[in-house]
Amino acid sequence: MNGTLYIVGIGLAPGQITQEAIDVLRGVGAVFVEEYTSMFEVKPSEYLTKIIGKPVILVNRRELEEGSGGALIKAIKEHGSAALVTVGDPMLATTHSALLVTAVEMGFRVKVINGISIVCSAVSQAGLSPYKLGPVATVTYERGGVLSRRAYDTLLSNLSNGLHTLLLLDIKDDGGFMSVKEAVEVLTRIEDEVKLGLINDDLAAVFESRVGWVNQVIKVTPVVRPPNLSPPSVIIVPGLLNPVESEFLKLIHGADDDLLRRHVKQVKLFLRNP
Amino acid sequence: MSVRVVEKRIEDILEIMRNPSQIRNVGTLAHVDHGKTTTTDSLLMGAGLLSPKVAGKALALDYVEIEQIRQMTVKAANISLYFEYGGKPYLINFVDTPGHVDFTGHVTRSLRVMDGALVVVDAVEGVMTQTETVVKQAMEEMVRPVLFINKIDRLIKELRLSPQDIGNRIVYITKEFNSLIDSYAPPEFKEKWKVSVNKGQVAFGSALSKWGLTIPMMQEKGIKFSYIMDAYERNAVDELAQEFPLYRTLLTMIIEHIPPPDVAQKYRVPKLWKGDLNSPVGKALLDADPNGPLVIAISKINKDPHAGLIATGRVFSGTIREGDEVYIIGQKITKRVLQTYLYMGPNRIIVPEVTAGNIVALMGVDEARAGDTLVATSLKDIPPFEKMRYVSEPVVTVAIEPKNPNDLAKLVEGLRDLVIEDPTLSLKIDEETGQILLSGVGTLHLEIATWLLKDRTGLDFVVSQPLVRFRETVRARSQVFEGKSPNKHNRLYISVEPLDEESISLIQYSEVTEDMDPRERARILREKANWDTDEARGIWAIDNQYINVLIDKTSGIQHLREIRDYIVQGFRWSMSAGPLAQEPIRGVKVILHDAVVHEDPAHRGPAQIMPATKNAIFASFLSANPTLLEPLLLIDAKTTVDNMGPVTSVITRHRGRVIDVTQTETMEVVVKGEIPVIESFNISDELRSATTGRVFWSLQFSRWAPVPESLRESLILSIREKKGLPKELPKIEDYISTIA
Repeated sequence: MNGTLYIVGIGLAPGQITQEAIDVLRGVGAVFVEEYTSMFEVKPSEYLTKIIGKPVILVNRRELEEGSGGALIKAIKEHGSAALVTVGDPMLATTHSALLVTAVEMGFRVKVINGISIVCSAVSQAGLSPYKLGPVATVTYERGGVLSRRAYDTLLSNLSNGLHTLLLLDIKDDGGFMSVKEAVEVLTRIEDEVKLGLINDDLAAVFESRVGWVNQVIKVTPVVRPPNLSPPSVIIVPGLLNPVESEFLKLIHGADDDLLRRHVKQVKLFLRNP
Repeated sequence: MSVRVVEKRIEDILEIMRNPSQIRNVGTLAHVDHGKTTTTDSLLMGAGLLSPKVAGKALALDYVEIEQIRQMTVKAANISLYFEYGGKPYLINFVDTPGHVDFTGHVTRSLRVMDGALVVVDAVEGVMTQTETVVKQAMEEMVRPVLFINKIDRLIKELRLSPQDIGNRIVYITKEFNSLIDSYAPPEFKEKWKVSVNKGQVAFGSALSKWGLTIPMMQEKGIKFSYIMDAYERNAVDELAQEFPLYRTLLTMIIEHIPPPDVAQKYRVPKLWKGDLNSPVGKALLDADPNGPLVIAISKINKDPHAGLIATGRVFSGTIREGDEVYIIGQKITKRVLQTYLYMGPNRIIVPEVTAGNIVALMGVDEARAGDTLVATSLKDIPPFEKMRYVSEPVVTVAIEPKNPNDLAKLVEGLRDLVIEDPTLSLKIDEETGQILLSGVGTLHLEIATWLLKDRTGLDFVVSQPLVRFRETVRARSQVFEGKSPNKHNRLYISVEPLDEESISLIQYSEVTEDMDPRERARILREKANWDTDEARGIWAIDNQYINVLIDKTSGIQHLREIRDYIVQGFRWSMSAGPLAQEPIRGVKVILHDAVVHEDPAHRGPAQIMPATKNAIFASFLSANPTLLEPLLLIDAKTTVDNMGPVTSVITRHRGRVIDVTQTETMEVVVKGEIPVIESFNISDELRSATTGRVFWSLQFSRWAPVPESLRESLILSIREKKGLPKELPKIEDYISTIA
């Protein structure tokens, strides 16, 4: 069977879309957009229609997951190609990577068009070294009576290796975004249970709101005192800091010198091989 | 008609209550129509309506109209009678036990708080199926029975028996009854609990005419059965009622032969409570010690229009006082008791405290349910009383729809209250369609429930024709199937197989439960049902509502701990509505063999894991020779010899089978058989017309059985059609992900 499925990332805000993405979207048979994995600075479907000059089709999570992307497959069969557009980079969204595998199994060609992802942007904007970024985790709401400890465990394990931790924030079932305050509450709740003394006034965090947007805000405060930020937002808990990283946080983001000093001391308490 | 009012000062009643030897906790048990209600009424009318005396206030009422009492007793969970015997006052608590066999769930709960049972048997019909059912349940709860043979007048007027035959009939029924004791009593009580005519443990008489006698009473008075017949011939039954009032005979028998609470608890507690009997609380329970730590067993929840939810139960140890904090084991919450009540007659009156051995009503413990154990907050870690066994299952369902859609919320609230009070009802509300489904153990059960609903809410609603509930099950072991989450990043590998009968009954009778000690559970399953040790130890969930088990056989899977609850929820969700026709699944062992779990919690929440679980279970299920189970009823029909043929043919015509035919001493024939519930709706009319009315019969739940193979497909399709599901048999592929 012939035909191509493109999975296209368009970055976090208008202006971040690549020329490659624009070319693909203009030439492809049908363009599908999902708007549930994250927030774009403007409505992605409207923005795309303007940029590529043709209508796009909105798909929701249920169609993609439960319908296993049946509409996309049908469009490829009809038009020879189709693209699924996502905010940021496509491979961060689980359903999209699964869809690629299904399409290949069905004999289609597949192509991933990268977009600027929150993982790269958040670390870069903070001024932290990507060489020291540890595994990423999402801070999630309690669901079905279970509060996941994954975010805390990932943070602990990264810090014990001196690594930075990027924490993504959950999306509610109704589409609302977790705020940094709620995320800190979750971490504190777990801290109260495990009582390791990790989440306290001495641990610094980089709180980032609307990364890549015109109204991007980045603040460095103790993790337990999150600033008021608009969604979508992320949190980076730095690991050990090299001199350049420290200077960057202080000079660019106004981090408190004493806080950073206490932070490094706190991290060292948890280092596996100091 | 009206009843005498016995006024007593509350202090005097409390004084009696502090002395266990002057307390009896009993209930009446009977086959339907054998005269349970008439007997209870006759006791109340004879002994009088106990009522609080208010100092300095003139008596407002000497007598209360019987209708008024009837209304009270319908709603009461307990009626306390005052009786003087041998110069001492006694308080006899009659625990409410519902009359129709549809409600054996209630009977079981009531038994927990009783020490003795007054079993009523119709002199003509003798021991019937439900007599057997209730005696069996009483024995399981260590409740000692005495026997009242009712409707002796029928032997005289209808059967025209001779005095000697009446005597023989009493001896015969006593023998039948004792054979039940022999079959079901705990070994140590088999002999002791058999009732003896000569010891005055069997009374006979007429509840309707309000007279009753025992053999020792007759000997004492020097009278013979001819004396009774004479009274009937002379139309002077009233004299009998004057001379030998039934209430006095029965209450005397109860006081003499049913143990007081402190005596009964010595042997009942070790059977009903599995804690350490040598601990302080264990000792207090054995002794019904009013100074011991507080332990209460709840038997009934009523909704009072003014006071809200009222929990009635028995204080097994300690003393409950208004304002006490109690811990509800099972619900794991602490509540403050806002008010403690005592039953005086059928009314509740507020009292400051109630001591061990007595029945109490509590306000403020809204979360408590029938069967719960309430304890002092210092006792949080003690085991609760053994779970109670329900024999009946909700097998008939009606859909309820408010005439005015705006009433929906109120209607649902009313229904929720009903289900709290009667846990044998089950309520299901379809979140998408808003359809309300109420299930009960029989059509009568649902009729009464909907009547109550109308009475209480005053709302107008439509009740659908009753629908029979089915179950879905498998008859073979499946292969391992992969279930994918919607995002395809989580994979669960699951197989299903049938649970054996022994395991089903262990779960059904709560001998193995989800919250018991896993090692103890594994031991029981290994010893009684030949389970493999690894499987028994791997139990994650036991669905005791529909009888299924979830077992984890994986090892070393990353992140499995965090999704365990979602898999369990997915399991329960799948069990509540199977793939064949969305009927509950029964008797299935679900085994998790392997799992692949996404690293990040945002991608492995319940919305991902529950469908993955369901997909794997349903694919396995459909490959394991699945079928429907239908509820069968046990029918027990007593008729004349020449009507045996017609009765048998009614049974067989309805896909039934005859299990046993026996002849009684009175030349009657008892036909025992089974018929499917779905075939039973018109059976009453058919039996009556087949025998020109010469038949007594009863129906009760028997078991779940696979539907005949020839009906399997058409039944599945017809249920699916009624539920608005696609009218085609489901396929395995529906649950293995494919692309549209």
